[in-house]
Amino acid sequence: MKFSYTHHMPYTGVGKADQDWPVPNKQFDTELGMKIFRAGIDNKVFAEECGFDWIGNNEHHMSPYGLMPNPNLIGACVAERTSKAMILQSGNIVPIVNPIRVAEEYAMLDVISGGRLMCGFMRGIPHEYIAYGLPPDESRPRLAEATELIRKAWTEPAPFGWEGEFYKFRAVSLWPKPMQKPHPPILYSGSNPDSARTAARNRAMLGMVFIPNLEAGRAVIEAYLDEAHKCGWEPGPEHILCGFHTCIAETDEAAREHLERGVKYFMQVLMAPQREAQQIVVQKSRYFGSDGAGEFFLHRLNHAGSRTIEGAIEDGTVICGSPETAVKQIKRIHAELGCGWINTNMKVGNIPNQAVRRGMELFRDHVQPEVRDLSKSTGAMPVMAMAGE
Amino acid sequence: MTVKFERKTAQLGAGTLDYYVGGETGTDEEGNARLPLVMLHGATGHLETEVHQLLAEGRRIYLPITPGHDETPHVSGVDSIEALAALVAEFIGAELGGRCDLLGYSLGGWQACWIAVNHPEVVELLVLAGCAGFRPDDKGGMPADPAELLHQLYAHPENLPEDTRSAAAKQANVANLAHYNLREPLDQPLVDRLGDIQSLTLILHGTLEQIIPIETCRILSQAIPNQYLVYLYDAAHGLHVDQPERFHEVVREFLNRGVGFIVNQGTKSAAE
Repeated sequence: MKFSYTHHMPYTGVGKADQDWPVPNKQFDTELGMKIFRAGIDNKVFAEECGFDWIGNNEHHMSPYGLMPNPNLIGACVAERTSKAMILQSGNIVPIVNPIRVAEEYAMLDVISGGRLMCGFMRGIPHEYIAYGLPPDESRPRLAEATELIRKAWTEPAPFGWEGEFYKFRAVSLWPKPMQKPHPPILYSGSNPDSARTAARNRAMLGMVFIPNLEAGRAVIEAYLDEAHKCGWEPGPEHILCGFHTCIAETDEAAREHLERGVKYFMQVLMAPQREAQQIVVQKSRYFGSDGAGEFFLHRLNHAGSRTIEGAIEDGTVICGSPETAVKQIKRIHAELGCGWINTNMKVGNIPNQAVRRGMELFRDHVQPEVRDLSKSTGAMPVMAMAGE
Repeated sequence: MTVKFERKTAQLGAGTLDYYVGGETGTDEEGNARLPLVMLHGATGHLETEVHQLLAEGRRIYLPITPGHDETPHVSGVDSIEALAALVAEFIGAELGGRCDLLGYSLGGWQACWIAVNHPEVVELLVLAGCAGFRPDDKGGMPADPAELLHQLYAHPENLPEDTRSAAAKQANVANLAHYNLREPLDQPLVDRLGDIQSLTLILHGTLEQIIPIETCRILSQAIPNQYLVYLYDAAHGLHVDQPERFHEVVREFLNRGVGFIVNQGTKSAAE
């Protein structure tokens, strides 16, 4: 079993929760912002010392939910201060940005890090399309075309042009090219069966977060495995990443107390404004297909805040407790989902940084040694090349 | 307005060459008459598609029929791809004023390369779409199974126009290729001379192409001195059928603007 450490740089200084999105930025304090960036980057570097295999950075826009509209900037900072851990960009919201820029910045990160980049190709969450003024209906076909274009940009040995539905480039030749060949491994987010099938068709790793329960998570993974089989390849545990809010403390009670407070801020302050925006997008566009994924998303969105920590623990959707408890929870997740990777989000809402760091130490000293051998892997990075690469 | 393509016959020194012609000669931005465009068809013969109509707006288009295809007579002594190229070059000299822009699709691309190599004086701009003749190690090629062939030809067969030709007629066209001794998937003598091509060249390849391998693009782009390779997204071998608007867009800009086609002109005219 391998582990990723993600810290999405939440802004912790919001006094009065705002319900509007984009969130008015009058509450943003630059001094606090600087401290958040410094602490967040320090924690990501510390994650390598704590034995995490990946360090994750993600992209969100125009709210205190996360301060990384361009996660590649943070990825570069972390790459410079680490030497072993993979840099997981989970990732760029590919459909809303220039795909050539994504290809270039990911290639830069791969070279800067000495070939330690793991590339997330995210579709984002619905309201991100408002932020960049793009039609949510086009999110899936844009992601599909951009993925092919980026892979081509990474692997073509000579200049080329592209005439597509959304993208037109007449002369592309990347400098630098990525260090990993044929290109860095790719991860797609997939928290519903449709997205999971898309990941499989692209021979990408599956990254799954915010599952309502382990049974639903298993259904998503089954969809991924079935589609991959139809496409002629067989993913292993090393191709499946499941993400969880994670809080480890000396005792179960302390961990629950921290997580309860962090989740409250997360749900009531960080998520509230974009929840409204996401509902508008989902209801007024075809961001999701007609297979019920939209209803599933909205149900999950609207009910996530009402769930108690105890209920989430029971459902297996958080890792929360003493090291001994966390080990049991991780073993349960592995047994029921068969994933080879767990992504831990330890900076949940406004959990104090000191508590986050302590949790990382406890993970290093008491949790990881007990679960590292759960899922035997070759250790090789799961690069699945497409035909012609 | 729909352009009607007329069928005609050219009397050449070696024999006759049937062709279709349509569209009106347009002018470029400086008021000069545009060169005619000669389009060479693939193995199954000429089939008028949306792209022919689109390209014929403001441009005179000639569509020669390979002798022996569509029940046309063979031409004495024309029994190789190189000889076929010489016949078309003679046609361009005799009927089109001696110079044209040349677009070859699949088998037609193979011919077009030989024309550009042996008769550079007749070719201004060259377009190679899903170009045959450059398949190393016999990669790609047309599958024998008809269903699989259709799948590999078209990602969007729903775009195919009504084809009034019988299956037997199309099969006869493919069988006619034997007359030109097209046995080698890789035309090494032609590869060795691709460096002689003087024309600015546009190479088009579908992202779903299977009949022509990606190695063909490598060979062409490395050997032809002045070329641009452009991938057409979501297109198989019949890329002009799968994506007629994308095909037209990139070809029209290339033919109208030459090297300038790599610069995005936006939607406003320079006068604005």
